[in-house]
Amino acid sequence: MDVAEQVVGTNIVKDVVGERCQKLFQDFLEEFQREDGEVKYLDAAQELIRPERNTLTVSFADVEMHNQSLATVILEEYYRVYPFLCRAVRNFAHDRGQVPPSKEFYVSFTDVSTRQKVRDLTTAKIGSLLKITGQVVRTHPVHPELISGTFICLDCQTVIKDVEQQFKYTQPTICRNPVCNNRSRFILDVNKSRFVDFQKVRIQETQAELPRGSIPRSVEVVLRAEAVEMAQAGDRCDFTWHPHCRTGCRGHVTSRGRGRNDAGGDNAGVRGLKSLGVRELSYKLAFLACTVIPCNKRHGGLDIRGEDEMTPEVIKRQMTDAEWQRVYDMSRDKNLYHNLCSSLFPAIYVSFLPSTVSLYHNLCSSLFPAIYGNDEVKRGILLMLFGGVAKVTMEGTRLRGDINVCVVGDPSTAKSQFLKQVEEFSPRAVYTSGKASTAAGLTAAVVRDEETYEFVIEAGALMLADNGVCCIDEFDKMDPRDQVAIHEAMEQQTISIAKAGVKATLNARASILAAANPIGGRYDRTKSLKQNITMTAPIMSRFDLFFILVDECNEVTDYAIARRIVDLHSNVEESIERVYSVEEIQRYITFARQFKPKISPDAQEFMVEEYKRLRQRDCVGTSQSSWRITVRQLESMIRLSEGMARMYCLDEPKHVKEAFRLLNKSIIRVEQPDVHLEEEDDEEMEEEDEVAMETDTPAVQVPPSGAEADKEAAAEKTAPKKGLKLTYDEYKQMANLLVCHMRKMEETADDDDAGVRRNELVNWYLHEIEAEIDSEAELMERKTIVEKVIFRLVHHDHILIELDTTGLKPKHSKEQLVKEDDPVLVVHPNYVIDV
Amino acid sequence: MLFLFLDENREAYASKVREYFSARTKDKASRLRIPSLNDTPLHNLCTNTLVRFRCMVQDMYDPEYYLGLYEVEDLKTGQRLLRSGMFRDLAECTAHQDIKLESARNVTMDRQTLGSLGTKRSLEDDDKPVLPPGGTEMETSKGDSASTGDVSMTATEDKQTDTKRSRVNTQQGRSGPVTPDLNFPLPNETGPACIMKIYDNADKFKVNDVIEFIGVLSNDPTMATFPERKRSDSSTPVVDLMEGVEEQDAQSPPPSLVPRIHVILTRDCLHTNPLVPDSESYNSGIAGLQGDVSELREQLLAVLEQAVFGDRLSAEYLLCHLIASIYSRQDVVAVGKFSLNLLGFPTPSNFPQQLYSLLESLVTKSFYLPMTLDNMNKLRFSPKKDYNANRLSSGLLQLSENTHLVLDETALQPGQLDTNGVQNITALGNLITWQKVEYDFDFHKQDFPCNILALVLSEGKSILKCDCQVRVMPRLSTSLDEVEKRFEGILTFLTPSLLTRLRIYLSLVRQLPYRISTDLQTEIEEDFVNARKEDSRQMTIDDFHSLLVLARLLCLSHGKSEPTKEFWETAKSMEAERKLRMGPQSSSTS
Repeated sequence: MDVAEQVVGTNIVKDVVGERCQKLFQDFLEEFQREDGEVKYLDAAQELIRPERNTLTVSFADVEMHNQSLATVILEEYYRVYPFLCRAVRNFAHDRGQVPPSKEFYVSFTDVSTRQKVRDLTTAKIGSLLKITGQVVRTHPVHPELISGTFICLDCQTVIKDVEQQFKYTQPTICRNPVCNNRSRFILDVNKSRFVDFQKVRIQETQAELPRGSIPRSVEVVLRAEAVEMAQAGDRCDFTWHPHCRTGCRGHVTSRGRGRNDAGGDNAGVRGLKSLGVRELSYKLAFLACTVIPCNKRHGGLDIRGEDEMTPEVIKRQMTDAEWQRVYDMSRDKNLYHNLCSSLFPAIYVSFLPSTVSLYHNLCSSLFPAIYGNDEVKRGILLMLFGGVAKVTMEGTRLRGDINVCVVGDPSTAKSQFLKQVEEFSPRAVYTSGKASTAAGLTAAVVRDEETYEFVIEAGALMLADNGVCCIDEFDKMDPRDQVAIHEAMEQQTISIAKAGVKATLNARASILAAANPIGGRYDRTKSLKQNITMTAPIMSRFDLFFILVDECNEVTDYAIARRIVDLHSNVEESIERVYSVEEIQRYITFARQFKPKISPDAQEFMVEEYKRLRQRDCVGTSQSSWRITVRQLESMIRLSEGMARMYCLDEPKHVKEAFRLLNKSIIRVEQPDVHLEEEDDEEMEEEDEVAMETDTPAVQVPPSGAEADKEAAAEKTAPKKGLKLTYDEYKQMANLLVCHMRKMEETADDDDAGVRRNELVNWYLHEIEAEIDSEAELMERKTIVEKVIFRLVHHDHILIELDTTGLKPKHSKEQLVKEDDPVLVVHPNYVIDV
Repeated sequence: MLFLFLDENREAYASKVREYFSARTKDKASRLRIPSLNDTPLHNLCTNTLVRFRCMVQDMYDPEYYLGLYEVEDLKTGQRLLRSGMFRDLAECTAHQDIKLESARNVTMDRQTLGSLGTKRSLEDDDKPVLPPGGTEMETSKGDSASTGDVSMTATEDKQTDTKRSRVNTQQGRSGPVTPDLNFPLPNETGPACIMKIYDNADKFKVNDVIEFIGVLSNDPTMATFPERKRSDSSTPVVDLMEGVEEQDAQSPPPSLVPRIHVILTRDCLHTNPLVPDSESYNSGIAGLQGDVSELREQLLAVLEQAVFGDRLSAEYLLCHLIASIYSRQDVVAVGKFSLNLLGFPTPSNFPQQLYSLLESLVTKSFYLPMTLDNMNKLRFSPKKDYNANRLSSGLLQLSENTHLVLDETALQPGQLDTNGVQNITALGNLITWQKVEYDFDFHKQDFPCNILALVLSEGKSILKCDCQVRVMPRLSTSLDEVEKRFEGILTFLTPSLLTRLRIYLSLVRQLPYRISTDLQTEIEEDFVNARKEDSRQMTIDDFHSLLVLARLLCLSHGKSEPTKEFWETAKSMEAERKLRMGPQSSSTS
């Protein structure tokens, strides 16, 4: 036996590089210190004493910091130096603790910077250390793998130790006993051989990396030691590994033993009938992974929902410089909001908008058909993609951060396109139609497995969209009972099942983007939102934002749309210029979503104020409100402002107002859906220099749209100068005041003088509020306001009636009216003041 | 053919090979000299020879790694040679030579593999004057069954596939227990399936592309794996023992059934009509056709009119449908889709089948699907990734471009759709609305754009939302006998030569370039705005889309590239009449 030992010694060729690496790596382990001066890997090494541990995880970044040349060698010739590194770990562990001498140790690296795509794996990469991300699609059971066999020669009983095994069972080529010529009769001594856990998994290209029109590629990965059972099918994981060529495995493999000093190419497995000289030349690649880190977050990719531990810095590190620069530029873009909108939905044109939109951001975007589309909806959806911050209260209740949006609209207003676009854009988005899906299809169903007859839970659309967006088209077509089923999913973001002995609560942290058709196919503007859609109040209150798309006829937009569509059909290759590419937006959203904005005291105050006002307005009941303003709306406001903050990459929301405006819009729309009141909204918004997104004038009395646009444009121009601001509340209050006064006057007045002159009324009003007026300028301002209000009351709300001195003929043209000296006003006899 | 190769630069080598062959296959005649796998039985072809193969890319497998360069030692002389492993599966090595597998000079390379399914007709069919009517993709050809030898070429039934497959599979009993599923999307489709090995730029191929490959055939029987070999051989790598049997079957089917082709040259196929000249002589083809376009159009229209009970309007729409194709995609919008719903057919009748057989004889690729409950519930429509075998199991809707899908809704009876049925209906709906088919990858679903024309025949309004719905107003009798007679009349009218010309006509006009003049554009835009002024409900954006598509198709059907005002007006009046027929309620879809 002693003789045999010597023979082995001569067989092994020394690898100088390897041994040098072993030394350097051991030095690294012993010397590398944390900031506090402790040897960083000491604790980890001592952990290895425990019988179930055998792998030391080393951060590759540390190695790079410690010794650049060592890192380079490891990176490039990983396969070659790997056994030496493991040996270094073994020595390190031996020095530090009482470990059995025969125990094998392994090293695994994390934080390898070179990230590869599955598609990029070519033979050039064989043998070097890589990091790759993929989705695990198949896992095989864990097996023991023989790594070092001890054989007994059946002829002379010589024990042959430490026969290196690589992927296949390798017997010694010849008995070590020089007098024994046995070459094939050996038996494996299982008790003295060493094994390692071994598992094969298959990973597949992630959806985001897939080129259009291609089938995802997959590769097989071999996991060993502590890396086994780390990945489950369906997980997305980061693998640190090295590709390793291995034999064609489809049939016969003829191969020989090999020395251990060939780095890289493993046994070239060639199959076929060797005697005929026929050999197949193909291989399969095996990838030996040393580290598996489950990651459901992904850099730069489609996954816009990072895990909680992710910080912006981490994401930043994963980006290339160019990418980072782009993200940085984007965060600096003043028109980011608008640009993102127009880049996201370039092809969606909705016809109902007045052209004031184009004035909103003075942008070059006249190219974008999106200009004619509903910016409000896009903004809402954009904020939805950014999302708010999910919170956990002290009691452990989870508050959702996801924003739910509902779009209600006439047919052919591109609702479905919105949904489809979102589905295309965002990663874990599921598009489903309410008509085709039942509650079970949306949430989860318990089904009996066909083969095993066991009950299993089948994920529905909402679960599939966990951490994503669930787009539900034709929401209204869903059975009301099924709508109820998603109550829980929308607020608690969980789905509970208690069926057939299966009881489970599953996560469904999805934003919901729903589209619904109004009852009767068209939105009836004389009715409230609630009367227009078949949705119960609980469901409605769970939506943060409601948007209404009305197919409106407008010459200017119609022209633009016609132009756009004709271009599309006449093969004009005018590609839509997006300010940002889809990938850029995706990357940006991924990045921005990492921010966790906290509400500043100022913003808090603002929100409290606004909430109070909304509540009060709600209590006063100036309208048949569709829902009550509840805490839900306050939460919505917070979520929206967080979303805004994220969009600008800020740590505290500075855009509470915009958030409030969006919400207000949505609420007011729902709250005061009557045409007369909406009209007021328009004025209100104009005066706030905001875009009036409301469906404007009622269909019966459409003013020429050009004039309308002009007027609005004029209002926009003049408004900032005057600094007028009139909320709906104030307007209502003024109106009530005026009407009360006039009623009183009418009651007391004689029969023949049944009205009040306008000037009188104005003067009376000004007199009433005299106390609040300080300067002459303010007086003038107030006067303008009250005149405007009266104008509104007469021409839009029809609460007041203007009496010409000659008779009852009402005025048609605005210009005339302004010049009209002093008409007599009376209150509409049917008008009832609501308090 | 393959020579010694010392240049280490693979790209240069591959491109040299490509140049050499492309220079020699430039003209059609020389290309036609290469035997085509599509219509030559495999047993008549020799391994390691050049073949042509026109096929649809069905699946993309994982890359394959091979020895791009290997060293061979001559045992007699001791001389060492380097050989190239490109364009071949098996090493070239005589009895007295030995491959040095551990040689440091060996170079490992990778190549991409594609699973592809042959299309029946190939280019030079135009040399053969007459095609049997109905000689479409789906027809089992004589050549195929001959090539199978003692093993059946037909696909094995999927567990869930309908009984129609078993009809084709009559050879099953004789062929022994194992016949690999060749994964055809449509039942009763046969045709050679191949594994293509691509050496460069494999990413340019997309699933469902129809491509003509020229390459080296490799069907050496020694590559076959046999079940008894799978036992755990002492030298089999331990890893392999865990590889599923299904995967081995799927990834390396017997080369006698699924030959390998090492691709040298590729040519995209614009169309699959063998009667139509390919791109080079394309323009002359159009010019030649120009003269009798209007005559052909009239004849075709007359035939279609007879077929749809003498309804001229329906016939016009049907004609437009036959030449429709998606010509642009803007984000999620597919421009040019023109799925047609002909409704108002009396049931029961075998009219849909008759109409289909007529259409089948006219277009290059078509499929007739009776939407029976059984079919909806049992067939698999969407392709699904089978992770056990690591391949894409095909579904009914995995179809190449411009396939005419005829859905017969009159076959539908009231009843219960199960989960699969609902999914199938949804898949059909998505196909029609978005021109996309969702492929199921288990962990996620992926949309693949497609270009499939759907014609839905129904009694009432279809459950599928088509782009265009036309109610057929029969002018002629709809009694079964009469219809029967009329179709017989059509068959006699369609002489082989006329049929050939009609086929050329249909394929050619679809490819015509198209542009709208600026003047007309302005006019159209104004029309739209004015129409909206009058009544915005009668002219939605969708209506406008359909009008433009219709105008385009009308124009193309007349063989013109630029529409005139007349076409626009015709389109408008056609739409108006159609809407009138549909009643006020259903003027548009949302």
